[in-house]
Amino acid sequence: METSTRNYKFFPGCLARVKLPHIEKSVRVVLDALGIGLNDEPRFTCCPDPVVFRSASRHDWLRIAAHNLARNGCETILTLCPGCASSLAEAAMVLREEAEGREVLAELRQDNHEPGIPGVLHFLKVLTEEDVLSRLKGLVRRDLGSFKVAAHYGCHLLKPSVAVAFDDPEQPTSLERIIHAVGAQVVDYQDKLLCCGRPAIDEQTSQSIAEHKLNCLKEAGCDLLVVACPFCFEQFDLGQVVIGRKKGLTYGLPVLYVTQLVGLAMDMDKPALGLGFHRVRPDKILEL
Amino acid sequence: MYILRGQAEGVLEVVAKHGLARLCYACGICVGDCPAARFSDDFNPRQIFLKVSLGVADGLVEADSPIWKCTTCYTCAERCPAGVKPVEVIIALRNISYAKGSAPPQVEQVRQAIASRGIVSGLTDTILKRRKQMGLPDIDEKLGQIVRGIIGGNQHEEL
Repeated sequence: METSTRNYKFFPGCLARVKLPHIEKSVRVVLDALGIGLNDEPRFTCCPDPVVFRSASRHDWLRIAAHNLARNGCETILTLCPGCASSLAEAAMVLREEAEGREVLAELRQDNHEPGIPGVLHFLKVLTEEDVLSRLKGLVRRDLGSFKVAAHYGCHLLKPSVAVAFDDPEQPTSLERIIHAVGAQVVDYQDKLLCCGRPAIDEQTSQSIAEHKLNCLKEAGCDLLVVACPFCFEQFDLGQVVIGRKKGLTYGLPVLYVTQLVGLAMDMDKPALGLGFHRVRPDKILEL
Repeated sequence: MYILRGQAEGVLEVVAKHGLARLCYACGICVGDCPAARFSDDFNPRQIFLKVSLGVADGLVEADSPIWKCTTCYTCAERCPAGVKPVEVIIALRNISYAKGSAPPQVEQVRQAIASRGIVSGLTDTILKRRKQMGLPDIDEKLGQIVRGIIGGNQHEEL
């Protein structure tokens, strides 16, 4: 194993920490295996949530985000969740560019913080950098060549591009690059870039979008769906059970967090990757 | 037609300015590929931005407003040729709606959760046990205190 050349401040966010720890576990073990060091900051709060919380008060959203950013000095923050990455990156832009942001920074200075505005990245950005990707390819131990894998990007991983600055928001390739790197087959499908629907506060809209995406995925005939967002994960993993029950059908499509797919290719243990906690179990298809 | 007046009118002015809604020339590119427009009956982003740029909040900040159907996917934000910040406009309208007490209940629930625990959802004993088994770090019990120190208590912010 090469010596770690990169270290980041790790921002695990809420959903994975409090509901889907198996996702957090897989991110930690896979990044560790790739020589990417994560430093924990126990005082990180919710980023805060850029959808529901920000809908109550943009100003409070900005102040909490500023505290999470400033707490950190200037060490780059690596997030598990694209919602956290886009929330913090957008807040960082407001702090730098808007009068309201400068006022919030001035408030922080009064509280004896010396506010730094660090860079913010979602871990997929690091995972798809050339040297990390080639290290990853070198660690592949299991042949996943028979699996047809579809990618769901979600929204906040790529957008707003002016803040998150990752991949191409209209034609992203990073998840497919990972699927190729682990030796599995990429399956394309209709409406690949459509939102999972989860952040719509209106439940009907949220479910209609998810149902449409699940139907498109079924049509495409994939074995697995890969995501890089805990909210998208829950929308499709738990969501397909809820929607299936209403409609009287079974989708049976296992959803893997991208680090779980990578870990499987590295032939990591099932418990290490948290593979026992999916609503739609991938065990059977993966012969675990 | 319902036109916001007085203090609320000032707020709408801020919405328009903040989200740069005034720049909208109603080309409609925001409607194409909008998930909420496609999968619901009454969400039309073009109509919303046009209304805001004209200073009319007719039906936008009351209970059952279509603004809660937006998924904040930012597809419109990426494509708007006029430089409007559409998600900022939606968020600003939601802030007004919340301050009026017209937001869906889950907005206040999430706000309360973050103000009391510092994180979105509550931890169950099952998850705590699972985290331990997986060797994941403990979650600081004082996160709620940190958040309250920043935004103060659990009160609505007055507009």
